[in-house]
Amino acid sequence: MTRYEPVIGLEVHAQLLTETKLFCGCSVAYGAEPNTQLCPTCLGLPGSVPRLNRRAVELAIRVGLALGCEIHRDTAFSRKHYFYPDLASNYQNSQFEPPVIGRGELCIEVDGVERRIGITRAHLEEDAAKNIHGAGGGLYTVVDYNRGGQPLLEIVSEPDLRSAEEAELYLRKLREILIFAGVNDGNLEEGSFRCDANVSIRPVGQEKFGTRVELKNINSFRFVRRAIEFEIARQEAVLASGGALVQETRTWNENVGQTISMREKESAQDYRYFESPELPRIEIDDEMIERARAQLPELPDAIRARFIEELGLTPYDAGVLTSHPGIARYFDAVASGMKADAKLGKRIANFIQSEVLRDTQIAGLDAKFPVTPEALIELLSMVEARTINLNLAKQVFHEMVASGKSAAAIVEEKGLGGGVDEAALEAEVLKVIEKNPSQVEQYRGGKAAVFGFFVGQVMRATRGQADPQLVQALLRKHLDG
Amino acid sequence: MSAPRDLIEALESLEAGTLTASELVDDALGRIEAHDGEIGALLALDAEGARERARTIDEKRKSGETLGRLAGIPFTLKDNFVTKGLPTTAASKMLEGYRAPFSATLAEKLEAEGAILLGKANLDEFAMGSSTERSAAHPTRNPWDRSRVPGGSSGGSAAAVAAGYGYFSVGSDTGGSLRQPAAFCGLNTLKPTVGVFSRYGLIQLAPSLDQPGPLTRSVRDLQLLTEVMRGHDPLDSWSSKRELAPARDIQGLRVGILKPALERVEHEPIRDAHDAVLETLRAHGAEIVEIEIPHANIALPTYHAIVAAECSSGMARYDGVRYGKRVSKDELFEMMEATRAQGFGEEVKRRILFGAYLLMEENVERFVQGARRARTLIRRDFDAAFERCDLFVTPTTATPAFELDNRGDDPLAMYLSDYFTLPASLAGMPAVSTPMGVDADGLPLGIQLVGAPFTEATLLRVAAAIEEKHGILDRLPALNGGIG
Amino acid sequence: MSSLPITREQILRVAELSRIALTEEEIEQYARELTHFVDMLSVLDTIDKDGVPPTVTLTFDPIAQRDDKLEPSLPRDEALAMGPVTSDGGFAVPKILGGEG
Ligand SMILES: [Mg+2]
Ligand SMILES: [Zn+2]
Repeated sequence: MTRYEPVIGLEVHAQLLTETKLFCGCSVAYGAEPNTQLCPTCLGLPGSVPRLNRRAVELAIRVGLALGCEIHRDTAFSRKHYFYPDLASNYQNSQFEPPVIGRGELCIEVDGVERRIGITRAHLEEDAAKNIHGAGGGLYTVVDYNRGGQPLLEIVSEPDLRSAEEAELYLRKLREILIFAGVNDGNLEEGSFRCDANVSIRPVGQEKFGTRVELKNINSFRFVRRAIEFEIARQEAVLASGGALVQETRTWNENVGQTISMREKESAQDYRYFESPELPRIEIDDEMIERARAQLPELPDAIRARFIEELGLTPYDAGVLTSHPGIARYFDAVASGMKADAKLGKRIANFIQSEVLRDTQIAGLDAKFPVTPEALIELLSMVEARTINLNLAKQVFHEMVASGKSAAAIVEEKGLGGGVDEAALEAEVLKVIEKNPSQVEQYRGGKAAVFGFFVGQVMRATRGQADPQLVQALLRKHLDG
Repeated sequence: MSAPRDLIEALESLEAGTLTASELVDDALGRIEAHDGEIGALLALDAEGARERARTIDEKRKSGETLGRLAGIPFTLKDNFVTKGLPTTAASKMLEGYRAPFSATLAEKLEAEGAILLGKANLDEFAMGSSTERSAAHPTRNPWDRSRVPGGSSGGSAAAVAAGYGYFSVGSDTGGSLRQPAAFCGLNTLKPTVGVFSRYGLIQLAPSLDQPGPLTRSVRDLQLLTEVMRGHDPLDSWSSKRELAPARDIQGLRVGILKPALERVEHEPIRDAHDAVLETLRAHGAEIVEIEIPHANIALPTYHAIVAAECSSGMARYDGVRYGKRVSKDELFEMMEATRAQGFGEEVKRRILFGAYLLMEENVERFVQGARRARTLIRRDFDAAFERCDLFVTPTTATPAFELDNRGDDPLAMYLSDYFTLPASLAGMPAVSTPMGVDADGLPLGIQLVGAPFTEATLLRVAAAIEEKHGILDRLPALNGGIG
Repeated sequence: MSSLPITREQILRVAELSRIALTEEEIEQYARELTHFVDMLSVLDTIDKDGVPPTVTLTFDPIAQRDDKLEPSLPRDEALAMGPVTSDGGFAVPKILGGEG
């Protein structure tokens, strides 16, 4: 039986993080009432004039830098024509040849092996409006032009992906880079990061591509994987039964767990691309590139390497602490604020992973989270100075989250801090040894388990404020000595 | 009242208190009432609104308030400029009943200066034509001779000014749509350098060529309106922030002429009038030099390929979905196809279809990119020409106004009437048309002055000198019995 | 120089791309005229344009770009008031079956 190899290429439409649309000043905020974010330009009214949002160009350059792609210095907008109500002018302002961003590649790791996936191009274009089907008692399709004209970067990969898993890894990696670069919010549900997949199969060893199917409407990572897996299996089954594949567009239907063929177009499209007679060319000079480079935040691979090398993190921990730019920034702020070395870095990372991330939604860390990096630095510095121990610090932290008060205020209020310096603790240790002669005898007679009893006694006597490690050291000194 | 001859005179009378804005408006409305049934220059009229604004301005003037530079002057606007207050149709069934939610910058600017908008002027549907016979509403007739066309596509505007419906009109020029009607109706006009007048709110025909401009009775009116209308508009991304170059003396100016082009003119009075103008300019100390625009012979196909492509693309927005006409059908594309079949006139459909053909994948490089490259050659010709001269003159048209229904059977023949005006459009150069007398039938003739970018002031100064000697202001139908 | 006549099929294809329904008469008329039009344009093939860049837009100053600043949108009532048919706060068209999103 013939063995087949899947060939997959991905097209991602990433909405650029601007305030306004690509050619007009309408808001791009998600979730507004339908048709409240439109103006003569994005509604294609007679007499309107498009005005290019320069921010979108800046963000596109940033993506080019982030992905290590070629940046074309002089490109233009072209009109792509097809009649459909989601295009207010029945053409889309997009880019043809050349696109603003040219070749590059993205590295993914598959089963511990690095795979380089080619990026063909990325171009600026305006988004289409949204068709809402079945309105007016099922009689109409209703168009909401709020989304029409929002700035997109369409990022096209080479057909280098060989499995649904690779496709998912590529998408996750791309999304992560775009989020860290600050150009896209990565929100699949809201459609600001959308993916179409071109899937074909060919007999292993054959160079020529098989018949390609375009998968649309796959709006979660899980769906991407399931849709591509389904499609590969479907295509194999068609060929195995002696059938032929047709080039078509299919959509993922989650309810039935299948890809479904979309209605065939009446005849082949001819988009009649031509360079826009009214929009500016996109001219990019060294200064713009340098400015974009200066604005490009550190990317996740570099951050993880730094966390591992300089702050003592395991690859796993580094991964957790870069799962969102907000978390990475938070950890970075605390670590640099405490001038952390590898050991301290590890302790900070542990605290953030076990406590901070337990207490907050990842995305909440940026905006409204009550414990700022500075506040956490104050708390952890008390631990480092042994003013309080780690267990207490955890309690104080949760109190900080609940009340918004500072660590110092809480420690002061509850009379926790400052009570147990080493001399006082040593006195407590001696007192406990003196009070429990039989246990001392058992311990010295070789019953090591009794050591825990002494620790517990000392901790109780100090109302939990003592540093357990110091307690242990002092007990050993006096019991063993 | 004795009607002022031009806008400047009207302003002087207003300031002197010998006339009121209400009188000017009533005079204009009276002429419209009397003649527009036959002339057909207007598509929409706002008589009440105009009277109201005139009264307001008169009151302000009485109480000594500061007024705008055009306070009390009635005017009209070609109906391809959108206006919030009045319907905007571009003379197409497609926009019947359309109410724009915004106004063109020029409309707002002129009204802010106190000019009083009387109504919207007729045009060839979506400005596609050169006779105003292709209006979906009705043709416009030339006030000088009602058996003839006023030219086009700004024919309604030109007829309105010639007939005395206000003192100026604002129209648009893509390949000659201001200059040719100005010549046919004995008026003055300026197609400016790209970016001098705002295009915001001008319904596009071909954005890489469309330019707005005023039509006036006198050159000094044109000078004033140029000053009032120009200036940076943040809503038009093409709007320039540059100042115009100062006007130069005619003494010592090198004025170019195009010998081979002149030979194409069969109408003798036009050649004679042209020569007479050159004499006048020589008398003012100008030096006449022969220049060449070698690629002028390909201006026509270049122009029509570009216009068809841009127009086919731009007109795609009229589909019955968001505004304007819709023919009801159960299926989406049937609805669009029926709407566009019934909403557009013959010439509009022709250009849309031809343009779509040129834009098809297998044709676009040959026809559209080819024409765009040819356009570059024409621009280079202009650059070279302006090394040898400071401006050049040509007849605006090869014939005076032609009769209605004359070219109806051959659309390509009508395309040819733009021969002298197309090159400056393709090169983006400023061009003025001013009258240079009348022929034996009493039909006005126009001369075109073409300059380098931003040299409008010099063109206007030269036009003033021509007007002094060859002007026909006193023969304008608006000022004598020719109308009625 | 004369090109091949434009066929009925070519006109129908162009009409489909342009979304204009044509009558039989129009099909014939436009086919004939488009043939002439293409003939007229074919002069452009004869001039030397090698290495000549196209003039696409025409301005003497750079076309302005816009800062990413919010500007007021149209009130929805005003926008929808233009719509030939509206429903559920939007512009309504005949139901699209299995249409793309
Ligand atoms: Mg796209
Ligand atoms: Zn908008």
